[in-house]
Amino acid sequence: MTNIETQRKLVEILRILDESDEAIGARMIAASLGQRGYPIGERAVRHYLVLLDYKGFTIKIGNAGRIITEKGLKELNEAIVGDRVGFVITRIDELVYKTSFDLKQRNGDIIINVATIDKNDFDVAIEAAAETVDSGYTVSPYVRFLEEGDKIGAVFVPYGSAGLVTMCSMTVDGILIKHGIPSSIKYGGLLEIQNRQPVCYTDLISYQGTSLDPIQIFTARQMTSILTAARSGEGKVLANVRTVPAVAAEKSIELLRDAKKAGIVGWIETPIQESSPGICAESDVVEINNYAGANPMAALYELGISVKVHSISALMDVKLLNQRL
Amino acid sequence: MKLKFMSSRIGELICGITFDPRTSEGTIAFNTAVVAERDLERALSTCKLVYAAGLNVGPYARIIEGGESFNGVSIQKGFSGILTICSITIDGVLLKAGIPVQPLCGGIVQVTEKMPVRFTDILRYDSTTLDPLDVFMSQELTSVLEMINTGSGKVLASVREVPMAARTQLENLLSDLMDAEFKGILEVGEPNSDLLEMPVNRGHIGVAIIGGINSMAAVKESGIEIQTSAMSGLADIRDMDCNLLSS
Repeated sequence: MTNIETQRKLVEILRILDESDEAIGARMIAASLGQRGYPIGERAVRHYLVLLDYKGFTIKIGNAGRIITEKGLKELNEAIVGDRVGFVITRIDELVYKTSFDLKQRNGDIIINVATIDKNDFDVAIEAAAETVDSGYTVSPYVRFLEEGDKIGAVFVPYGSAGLVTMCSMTVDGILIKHGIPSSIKYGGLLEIQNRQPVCYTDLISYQGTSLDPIQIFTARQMTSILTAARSGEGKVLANVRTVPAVAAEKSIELLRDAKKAGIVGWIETPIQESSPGICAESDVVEINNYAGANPMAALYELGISVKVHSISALMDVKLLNQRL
Repeated sequence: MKLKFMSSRIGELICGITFDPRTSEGTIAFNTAVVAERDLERALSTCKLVYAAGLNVGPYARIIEGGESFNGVSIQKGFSGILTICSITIDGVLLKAGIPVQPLCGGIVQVTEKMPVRFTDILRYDSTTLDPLDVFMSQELTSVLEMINTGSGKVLASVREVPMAARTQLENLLSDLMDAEFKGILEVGEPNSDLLEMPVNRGHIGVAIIGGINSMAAVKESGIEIQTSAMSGLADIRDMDCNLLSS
């Protein structure tokens, strides 16, 4: 059993290899590790790579460097649960920090969700996604389509599939934080819609206490009824909650209004009925609710379409989301 | 409607548990699974398989026929309900003995060659309004049948922590529970040490217990439609059948 420090470095090396499109060598891995807060020399990296090869997690490709194996990918998904609990929130924090969307210029990087869909179902899927977008249960009507073989962040669009990219609601947190407002992401939830109005949450999962993404949990359990909500105004859609200090409420609302003008429309202005004393247990903070950008994707599950949703998966230049659904 | 996080739901249930492992009397908490009536026999034989492999809280179970109700659980016509013991019962036993037990989370344990190795995913009770083990089951992340067949796979378990000062008493109670056929204790950690790679608070011991819902996960893996709801109610142990799974 290797100690936890070493284990973290090994896992980080696997992550670097997974995120790379091609085989990479020890020097580049050492450089990436340095950027990620693991200052390790090239020689030590070589030593770790031999260890990873031995375990069957990586494989050497001639002189080009190494790639991750199937077994290595599996290990990456399972290793060190203690580090991965709240891993969702770590990933969000990192992406939120890197968001660079400018409200005035309307350019910069935003956070995205990616769904991969069987090619045969793609036309039906886009129609349903468009219906969801029209009803307003989303972050932005602008999307991007991906081709088979495309890779974004850690998401690979398999052969025989096509990809759909939507804007993720965490983009809003990026905007708030860039304006000096400490937005703190709390829960992903199922929001009940009645008469086209959001009423209350029926289930919540905190981003802090899970190694799985809450939105993905609700989606895979097929607890949503987004299409019905879009068509008849009654149903359950995905949303999330963050808090900001009460002193910053006014400025936040101003920014959220500006965001709406800039095409980021997911903010739910109507206050959600006080459904859980737990949500806003802290005093002096106010809640901000947002529709999840994954709603148009989750709606596809309801049609029985085989779809894989990777929410909060990467950053993308907002200009690339150029198709209007 | 007020939302209830699992931690508060557990708090309420745990107060009603009075099971005494020495006399095998008192109330226990149960999980409910619902299958179509025609699938009941097949589902039960899978449950027996899981029990025989030791992946269950205890031997007690109960069948509820379609159209009947039992302690707040009603089953529709054409369906059958299977009740199994929920691992929270063990927390209740510890609590009644005066140990301040803190149920923490549910998770997936990777088992390699019959040895539990580590948690690969967890969901904290104070973070969710859905039961963690229900969640993991529906995400199709388990491989209970594979674990039974090959000795390696992924099973559902829950974690609680107790103060390290209570260690001796904890060990005595767990051994009483074993004597009462409650054999689902997976791992008892060392003080201040990770439990199957899951961090435990300072001054505490972590205890991992096999989820009573593993049998239902196995049924699902075998291709039978099954609806589960963990921690669905309380029942007197006399209302449960102690031979149903072992026969």
